[in-house]
Amino acid sequence: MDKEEITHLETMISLHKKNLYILEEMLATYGADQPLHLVNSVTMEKEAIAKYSKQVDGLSTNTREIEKSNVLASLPRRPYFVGREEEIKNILQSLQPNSRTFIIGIEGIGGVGKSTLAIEVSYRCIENDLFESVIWISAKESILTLHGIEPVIPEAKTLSEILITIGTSLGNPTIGNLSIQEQIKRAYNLLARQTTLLVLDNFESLSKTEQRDILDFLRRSPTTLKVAITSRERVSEGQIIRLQGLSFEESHALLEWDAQQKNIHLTQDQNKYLVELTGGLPLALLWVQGQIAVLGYSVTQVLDKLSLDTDIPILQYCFNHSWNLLRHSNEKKLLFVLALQPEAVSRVALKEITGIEDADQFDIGISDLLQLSLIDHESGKDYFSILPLTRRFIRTQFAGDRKFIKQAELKIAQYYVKLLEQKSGFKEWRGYEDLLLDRNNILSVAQWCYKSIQKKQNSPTSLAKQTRNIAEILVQIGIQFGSVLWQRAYWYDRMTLAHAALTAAKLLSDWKSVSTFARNISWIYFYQGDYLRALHWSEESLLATTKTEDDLLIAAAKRSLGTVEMRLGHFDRSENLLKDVLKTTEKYASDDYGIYSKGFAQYGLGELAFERGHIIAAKAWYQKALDTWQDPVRKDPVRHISYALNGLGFVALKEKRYEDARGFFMEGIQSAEEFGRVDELAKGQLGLASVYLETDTDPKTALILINESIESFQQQGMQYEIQKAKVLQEEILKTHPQILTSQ
Amino acid sequence: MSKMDNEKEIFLRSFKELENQFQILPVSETLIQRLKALLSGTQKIAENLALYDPLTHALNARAGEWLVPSEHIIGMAKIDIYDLRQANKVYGISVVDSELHKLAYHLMSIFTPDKGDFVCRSPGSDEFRILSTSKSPQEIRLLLTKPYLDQETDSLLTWDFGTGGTETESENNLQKQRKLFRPLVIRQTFLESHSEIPRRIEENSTYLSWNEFNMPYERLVDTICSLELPVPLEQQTIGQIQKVKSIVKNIVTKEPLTVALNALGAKWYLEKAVIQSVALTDMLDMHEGNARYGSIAVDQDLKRFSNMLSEQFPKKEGFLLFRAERAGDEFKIISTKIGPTELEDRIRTVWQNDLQYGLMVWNYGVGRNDSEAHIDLYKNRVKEIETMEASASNGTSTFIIVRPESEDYSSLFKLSEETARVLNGTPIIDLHLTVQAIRNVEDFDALRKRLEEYSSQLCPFEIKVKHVARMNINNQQGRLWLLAEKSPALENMYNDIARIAEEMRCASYPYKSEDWLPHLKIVNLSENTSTQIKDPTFGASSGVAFTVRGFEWTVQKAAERWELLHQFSFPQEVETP
Repeated sequence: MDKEEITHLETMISLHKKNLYILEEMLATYGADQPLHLVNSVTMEKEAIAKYSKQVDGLSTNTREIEKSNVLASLPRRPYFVGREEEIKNILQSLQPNSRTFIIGIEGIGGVGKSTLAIEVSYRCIENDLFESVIWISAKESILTLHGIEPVIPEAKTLSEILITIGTSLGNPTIGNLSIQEQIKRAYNLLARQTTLLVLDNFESLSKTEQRDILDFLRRSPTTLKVAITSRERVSEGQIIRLQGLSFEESHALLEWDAQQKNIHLTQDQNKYLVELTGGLPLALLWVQGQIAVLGYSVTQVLDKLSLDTDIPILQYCFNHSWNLLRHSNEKKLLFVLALQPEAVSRVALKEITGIEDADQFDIGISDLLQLSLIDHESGKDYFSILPLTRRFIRTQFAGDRKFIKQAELKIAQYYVKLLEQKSGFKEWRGYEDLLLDRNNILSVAQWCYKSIQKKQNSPTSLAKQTRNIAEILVQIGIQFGSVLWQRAYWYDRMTLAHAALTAAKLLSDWKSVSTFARNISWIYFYQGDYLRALHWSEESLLATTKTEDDLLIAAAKRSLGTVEMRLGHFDRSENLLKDVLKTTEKYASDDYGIYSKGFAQYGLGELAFERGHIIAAKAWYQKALDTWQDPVRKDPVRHISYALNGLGFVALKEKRYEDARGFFMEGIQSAEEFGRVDELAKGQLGLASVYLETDTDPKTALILINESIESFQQQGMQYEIQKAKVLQEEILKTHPQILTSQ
Repeated sequence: MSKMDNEKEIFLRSFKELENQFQILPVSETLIQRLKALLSGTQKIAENLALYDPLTHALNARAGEWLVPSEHIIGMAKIDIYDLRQANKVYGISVVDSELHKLAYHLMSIFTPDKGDFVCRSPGSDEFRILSTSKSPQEIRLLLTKPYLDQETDSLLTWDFGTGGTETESENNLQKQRKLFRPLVIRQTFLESHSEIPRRIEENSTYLSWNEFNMPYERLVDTICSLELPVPLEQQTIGQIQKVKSIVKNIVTKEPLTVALNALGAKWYLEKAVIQSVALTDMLDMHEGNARYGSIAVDQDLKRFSNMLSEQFPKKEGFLLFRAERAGDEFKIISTKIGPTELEDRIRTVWQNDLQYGLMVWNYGVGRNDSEAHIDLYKNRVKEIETMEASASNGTSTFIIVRPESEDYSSLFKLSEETARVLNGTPIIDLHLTVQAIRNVEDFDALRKRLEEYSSQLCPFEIKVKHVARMNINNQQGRLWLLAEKSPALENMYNDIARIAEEMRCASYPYKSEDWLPHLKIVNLSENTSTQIKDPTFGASSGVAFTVRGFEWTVQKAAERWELLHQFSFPQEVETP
């Protein structure tokens, strides 16, 4: 109707324009003396053109709005939307008429926001006049309400139902009376007349046959049609957009908005916890707030439910479908192994622990899980991870295959022991970073081992084979990984690991290891300034060595005891012990551990001399330690030299040889940085700050250095050094109060 | 009315009064409803803070008292984590915390308040309790069996449980299960028995911040201010809001058992405090004390101790008293006014004066901060142990004693406390009955074996106590004794042990059993108490009974100091899940 009217008006406009040209030509012939009737006629023609043009404008705007509102009526409500800008940009680009993409598959686990993204895209298409019509068809069979999963009637389940919806939307509601072939023809015909975006939501709910038929129909459809499909499964056509959880900021914005709507309040910490727990899964975020606002649960109750309950509907809603699609046991094995470990797992580890030997089978399994968005690939390091919520779901499935789980737990332990054997050697320190990627997984294995050896033994004299095996694994991890953790200053982790491994070593009557772990604990207490505990553990360590005849082990225990005694002010005993150690280690001049111990005995004697105020002696000992550690036999001139360099630095500082001191500390910092020794790096910074302060050269840098060192000391709990550094900090601020204001 | 009932009433009344105050405000009904809704939300937050363990979200000890009337409890269970301190060391505190949370959630999903079941845990405790008003001990046991068996795979923690109709019964069953399935925990050194282990720098944010706590009260005040009420009415209402806040703050920051501040209190009070000095106290033999005296007696002693500390280190003088979050026997005193030297002088005097009063020996350490105070504490403990070891070599006088457990202890201590109050005396916490003495012991090992053999032939028996007598021996401070009725079981034990002493060439009490006056000392009388006590029977005329399930062998270390050598339990039937 409107179209006819517009055509009529446009004819009228062109007639009046014609008249106007004629009149203007006639007027031109009169020059300045124009007859009035002609002038009036021109004005009348112009008014008529303006009038009809206005009417045309009005009519076409109405049409567009009516068309738009027709389209909007078929779309679901537009929810609050946040983030996903990159995905939207990609989709809109693909939906441009000039793009060759015609199917876009939006994939992801349940609740990740596929439908919400499709709705948002649809609205943006309408706003940008990208399509003349948008048709939304949902095959959704269930929804998650606050009370659980509830069924809904799907809008379409078959190709025919989809064709009928297309027909109805495009002005041919009787399409359903035709045969299916005729319906298809008619639909093509209708679709060819205008540009259309067809959104098929929850495609995975359709049977495989229907999915195939629909895709066949779509493949032959006219180019005026573009299709967006949301699915929890892979969509084998077109461009794939795979959704993951929202980022922290996006999640936070969504939570804030929703909380405002529901008039509830979650603290910053609760929000953070919630996002971590759900991995930014929007449905889970909203579900939690809904439980609080609508069902009246307390925040903690709901968060507990989400983090600890094995039987919450949201887990089933998000994951059941994907889980049920896993037909091959390989995929389940992969998921089980991932869920057994707290952090991402390397490809090699996954392969070995799952026991999937065939490379193709392994790749297919991984690819299936990626397609189902059940796992994520961290391509940079080639590790695989799962969301916390996915982990929780998978763990609820453990009961289905206890036998595999039991085997896998042991295999995980064996795998990491093997990895440690390869990578934790003292000469491999440059590769420790790689090993530390698995830090929490390895520590979790240690926890599992400890738990496994907790049972009361039937016989106190003989251990069950399995218990012995696991205890041995724990001792191995304690020794090999403990050393890595120590050198990279993960002291707290080393402490817990040493306590666990000590129990295992005692169970095995492995006195060498008992001594080693007791000594490890002693050193941590020593560095943290808890000298009495350090003393206790170093004595324990020495006591355990009485059951062995290992000279270097005895020396190591004595060295730790001697060093602790120094801090307790028992200088003579300290000196005797350290000299004793030196004597022993000198016998092992070609043994790496011997050289290492010798260097530390000399360094310890240097510390003792320094503590006693014997600066010249201290200097000599530090220098000896440096020479020992740089011994070419050892072929490792970097590992420990920062200790000696810092020692020499403090001697030079005491002797007011500032340039030398600066040089030693700089070198000390450099080697500590290279080796990754946080504690020695901080000590170097402390020394360098002292140089700057005493020479009054750069108090600002001195303060920065001291602040950094305090932070490091605090992180490591090094009480003795914290006190020293704080005194220096106060001094800087006292002598240069202006620094604070300038900062 | 107990302290808890009082607390609960004050808490509830303050909210009710504020609600009434809102009701009389000259504003529209809609506004009143809005204020009431705000208040109800505020009360809910306050209740959560007062009644829940912030770590596991189980109910705390206060909730047990507020919500579950003891007369309605028909079954209970005690769930005890095996060697929690070691678990903390091996797994790290944050992992253990999350495991405790998991276990609590699991228990709370089986035992729910809507069915009359309550899961409780005191912060820092290694024990959960289930109090049920609907289930018998057997039913509880059945429900706990599956999680008990599943713990092998589901949890890093190891736990045991015991059920019963009473505290004692649950505890006994728990101990039986423990002995059957777990190796005995022996702490070799005092250092390792201390709870504090280095922790990661990041503090957990389990606790509400002071600002977050204040928010709902500020919202209420803001709303009142926006109503443009007459000034006096506005002031009165705001005053009432502040009063509620203050009551809530006092309750939620107080540790339920003692008068000390809890971890929430620590967070709020210490956030901006300038700490001048820190003192830490620690019970020397808490682990042993629990086994020896039972948890009720130990709790009683902790209350006494905490009261004493709060009197000696009052808030108005700039002291704050905290009970450690992870170990109930550790207290911390913080001074915002005096330095370490002054604090040390003060606490030394307190320590000397308190030596004779408590069940357990305690020690202290002082420093500028926690870390220094810890080191000092250890130094003092080293000295203490050295002294003990030196004096132990002289102790050859040993005694066999029996003592009431749990509920029996509670009722007897109540009697002791009430009697002491009437007479202005001090109740004796270490309630026991000395059955025999074995003096001049040389071979402790042989005697222990002999006593072990003897104890395995005994069965639990009951002791009835009835009359109270006043005793003044050798011009010492007066005491009240609660006299026990002589029964064949008690007399036999007296005679049997005398015979054992003779066998082992040791000396026992020189008098015959006919002349023996079995008794429990219940009150130390103050020095000026005259002899005009008119009714020497006090509340005991109806008689109280308690069951003996074992005996203790102690050794005298000093004039007023005895130490436990061994505990002997009589054989009992074993309850297994």
